[in-house]
Amino acid sequence: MRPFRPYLYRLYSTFFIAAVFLTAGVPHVKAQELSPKEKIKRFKEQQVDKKKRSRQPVYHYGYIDRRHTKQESLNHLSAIYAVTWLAYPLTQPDVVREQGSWKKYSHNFGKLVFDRDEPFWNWFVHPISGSQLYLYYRANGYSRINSMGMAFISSTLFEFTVEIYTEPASIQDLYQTPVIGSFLGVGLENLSLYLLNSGNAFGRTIGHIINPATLFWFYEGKVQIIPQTNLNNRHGLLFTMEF
Amino acid sequence: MRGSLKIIVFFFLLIGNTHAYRYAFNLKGGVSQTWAKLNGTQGSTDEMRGTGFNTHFGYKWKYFELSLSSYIYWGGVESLSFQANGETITGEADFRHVSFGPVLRYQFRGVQPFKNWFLFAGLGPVWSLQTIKMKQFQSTGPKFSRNQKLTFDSTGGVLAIGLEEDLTYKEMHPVFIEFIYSYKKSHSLSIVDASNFVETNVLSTQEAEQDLSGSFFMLSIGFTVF
Repeated sequence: MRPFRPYLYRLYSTFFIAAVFLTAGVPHVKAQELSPKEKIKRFKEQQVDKKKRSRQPVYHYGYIDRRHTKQESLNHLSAIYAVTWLAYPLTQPDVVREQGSWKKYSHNFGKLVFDRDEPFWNWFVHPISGSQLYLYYRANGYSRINSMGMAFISSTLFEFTVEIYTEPASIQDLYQTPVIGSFLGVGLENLSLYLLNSGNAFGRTIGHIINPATLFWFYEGKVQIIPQTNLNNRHGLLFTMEF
Repeated sequence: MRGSLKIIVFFFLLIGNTHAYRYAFNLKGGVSQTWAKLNGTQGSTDEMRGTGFNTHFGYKWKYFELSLSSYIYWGGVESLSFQANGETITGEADFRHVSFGPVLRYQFRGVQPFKNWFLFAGLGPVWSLQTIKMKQFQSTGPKFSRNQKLTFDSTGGVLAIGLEEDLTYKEMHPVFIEFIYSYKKSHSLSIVDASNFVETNVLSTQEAEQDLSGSFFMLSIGFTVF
């Protein structure tokens, strides 16, 4: 058995030497007492400095909430519904093949139960699907609460008319997919916007991975801001949106 | 003089307009700590402490609010007995709880212990699934194994009392602190094969009238997300 104490001692020594080395590089002066006025001044300077040093992205990513017609909402629900019919057998081919049947479909129709699935499915997989539904509707200009409502309708349709091919509709899935999914969706929305607006390629890539709806043609929040000037006395900003 | 009068009038107008958001859907969430006194079969009792989270999707009228609420928590029991397939199983187990139900809350406008914090009370029925995954146990028969889990379908009710911030916009993320009492008792027990992580296989289901019951006390703190 490998002796544990010498290993810890070596780890501690390495950490100590590294800390001394790094600390030596920091210029140390006598601690300053700043007056409140000085603090505000420095804070403002640092904000300007931070803005000046950060990259300016070509596109600005965000969400622009708007109203939708009934027809538009029906089109979205139909599109997502069609996708679920395709995605379910494609993502879970074994379950569909081994456990699914039309006889089961008619037996499960209208049935609602508590499922006995492991927490991984109910508290991780389903909320992730819900978060992507939420982000799809956000990308299409729905407000946060309306996106959750639309995700609720989409996941209910899936539970009651698609998944019943293999198992009855589940109370946990009905609630947790849109609700916990929207919680997760808000977090992903904020994180992805921060990354997408960071202006660097790595941030943009990760931002698109965690919020794929921002990559598609239907995403309404991609705005290009171009400064305009006549180099004399007229200045402005040109906003360009992609639909 | 005229200037200061204008400022005062403006100030009062501002006060008049700062009433809280009403007639809107909302989503709230928070974290919770639960203490429970559980009753198993054969007179066994145990205490449980659990940590988890809760979510509330609701609609707020002027003073009433109806929400679909869910409480989820994880905990453990040490010496509770259960009756399954004619066997008595006693031992240490992980305890998982998930519940759903409509909760109607009423805000008491007259009780404001801190500025913008109002008292509310709520109640509603609750449907719950409680999962017991045995770790160290003794069984009076050979059927029950470590790869199985017990899931109890329970019903009961919740009573809630708490304080919530009442702010102009829900985007200000009002905070709430809630104390909840709930009582639940089981009506059916399913024994589930937990050996396959992907596929759930319910081995048997039986009547389990009050095989698992108890009082749950919960402290929950959270905020309006949107």
